Amino acid sequence: MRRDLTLGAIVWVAVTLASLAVSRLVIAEISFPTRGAEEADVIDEAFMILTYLAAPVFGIVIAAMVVSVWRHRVSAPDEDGAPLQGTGAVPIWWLGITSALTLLVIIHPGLTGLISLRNYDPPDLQLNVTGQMWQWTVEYPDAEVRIFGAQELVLPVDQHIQVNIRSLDVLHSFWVPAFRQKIDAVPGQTTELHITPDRLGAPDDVAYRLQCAELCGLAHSKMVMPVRVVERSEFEAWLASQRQAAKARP
Amino acid sequence: MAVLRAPIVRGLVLAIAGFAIGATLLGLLRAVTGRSFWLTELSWTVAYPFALLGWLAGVGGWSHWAREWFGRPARPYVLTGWRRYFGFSTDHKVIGVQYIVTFIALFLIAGLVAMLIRIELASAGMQLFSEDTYNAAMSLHGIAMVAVAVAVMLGGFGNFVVPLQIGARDMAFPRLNALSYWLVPPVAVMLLIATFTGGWDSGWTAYPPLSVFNKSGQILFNLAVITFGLVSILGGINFLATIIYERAPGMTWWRLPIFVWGVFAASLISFIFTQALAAALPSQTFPAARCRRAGTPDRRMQAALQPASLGACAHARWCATRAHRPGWRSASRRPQCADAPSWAPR
Ligand SMILES: [Cu+2]
Repeated sequence: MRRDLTLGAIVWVAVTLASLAVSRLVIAEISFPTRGAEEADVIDEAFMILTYLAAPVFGIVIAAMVVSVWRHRVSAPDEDGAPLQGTGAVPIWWLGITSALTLLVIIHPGLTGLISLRNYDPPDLQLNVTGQMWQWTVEYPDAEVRIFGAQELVLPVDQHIQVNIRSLDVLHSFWVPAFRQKIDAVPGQTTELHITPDRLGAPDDVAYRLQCAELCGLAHSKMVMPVRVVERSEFEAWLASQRQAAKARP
Repeated sequence: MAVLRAPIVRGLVLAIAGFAIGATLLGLLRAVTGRSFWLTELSWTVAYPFALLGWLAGVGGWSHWAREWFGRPARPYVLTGWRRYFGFSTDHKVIGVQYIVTFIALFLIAGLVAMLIRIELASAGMQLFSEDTYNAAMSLHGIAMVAVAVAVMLGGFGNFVVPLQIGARDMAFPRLNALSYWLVPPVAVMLLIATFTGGWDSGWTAYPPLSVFNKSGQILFNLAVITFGLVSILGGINFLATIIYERAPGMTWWRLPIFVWGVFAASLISFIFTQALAAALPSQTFPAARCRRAGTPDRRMQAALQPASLGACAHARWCATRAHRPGWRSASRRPQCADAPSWAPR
């Protein structure tokens, strides 16, 4: 019994350390698209917390498997291995610890993350985004500018942007990979997101696209709008030119 | 004709007969009220239950069970050797094997579709599929895999192993057990018919309102998933009753193997929560067919079916895309919205 426990502990520690190393050196380095907004940190941090927490859980599952294979092994096919003995304490501890871990993760990064993503400050810029089969329409209500289809969505850097999201027909989902956050566009409801882009970005980076992320029928995969994050002055100039263009149209 | 006595053949013949009866009854009803005899979507919805009953009666539900309801003794046929796996068997081990083999077949189909999807995704743009067939393939893959994942564990291994592990002679309701298995082939057949007649492109989740705007294959998907829900509910009841009442003396709750606990938990979930799905899907299937038939909005049905304020545009699409074609809609297309320009936010 003691030898089994020692074996289990060694396997647990080894697998956990290896998984932590892979998480830190590989997953944390390569798995994220370009980070383009302040709020992205909350989501990336949550992702890494869950990854690190998964390492000891993965380790103990592997350890339990290795120990049972070792302990109940037989040398001949018709031989019986060591008998299974009920140890009531193990499942109870297992249940208790995993439930506690789950609760912990729901509280942090779950609830704490949601709270920090909810920004009650008055936004610098309002954006009305409407999804329909199969394109986005973006409206800058203060400037009375409206863009849609293959046009570019242009945002100013370092501004708190409130996005109000609606749908005309079926469920869609607002998702810009660089900003990480994603929220459904629900017909009959307005959902909102708060985004503060903190670096410049252009659509040649695949993370800078407004991509529908909820299956919405035939051309769902093509429901994309390129996104560009620019300096405040450039944004004002672009907005003015859009307004001019809108006036020129009959 | 020995072939005609094979349960599956008898089931197929009665299923086709049931389908014909249901479709004809609906057609006559329509003809009497001055409408066209032919109508595809609603015909499927109405004829399918008849076909299902015919199938179940044919494979053995009548001789093993239903005869008793009419005061006659059951006359179960006995099949031996490999044939027993192709008949209405009440033996939990046979049923376990039937489940596993059926779902391996379904698993292979779903896996093949997954490989086609991956081949398509290997390079940018569309090569193998169109957007339409890609969505159909993805949807078939999704529902087939979800069904396999749920059912192979619960139906297959559960049936084979649980009675052995708790020391029961068989499941609590052996005939119900056989019935739930024989409800599975129609599910697979309906999903495949749906796929080969144009498919449906709302994935395995079938979220409304997309699933209401969808192609006609959605109707077959709904019917198949309702049937599969029935399998889940009946199977769940059976496992719960077996584990609660059929444990051997001395097999107390705390001595139950972990697998039995797993089946117990899964059965509890499928028994309780599949019913919500089972209640929601018909309300998508039948009123949708009604609106398509009528061509004018049925306000009560619309209220029941759509999110509270879906908006005039969406509603116009909903009925306008259906009104002029009561037949089979196998191609996906962009619904036209009469009362709003394409770019207009509300
Ligand atoms: Cu979409």
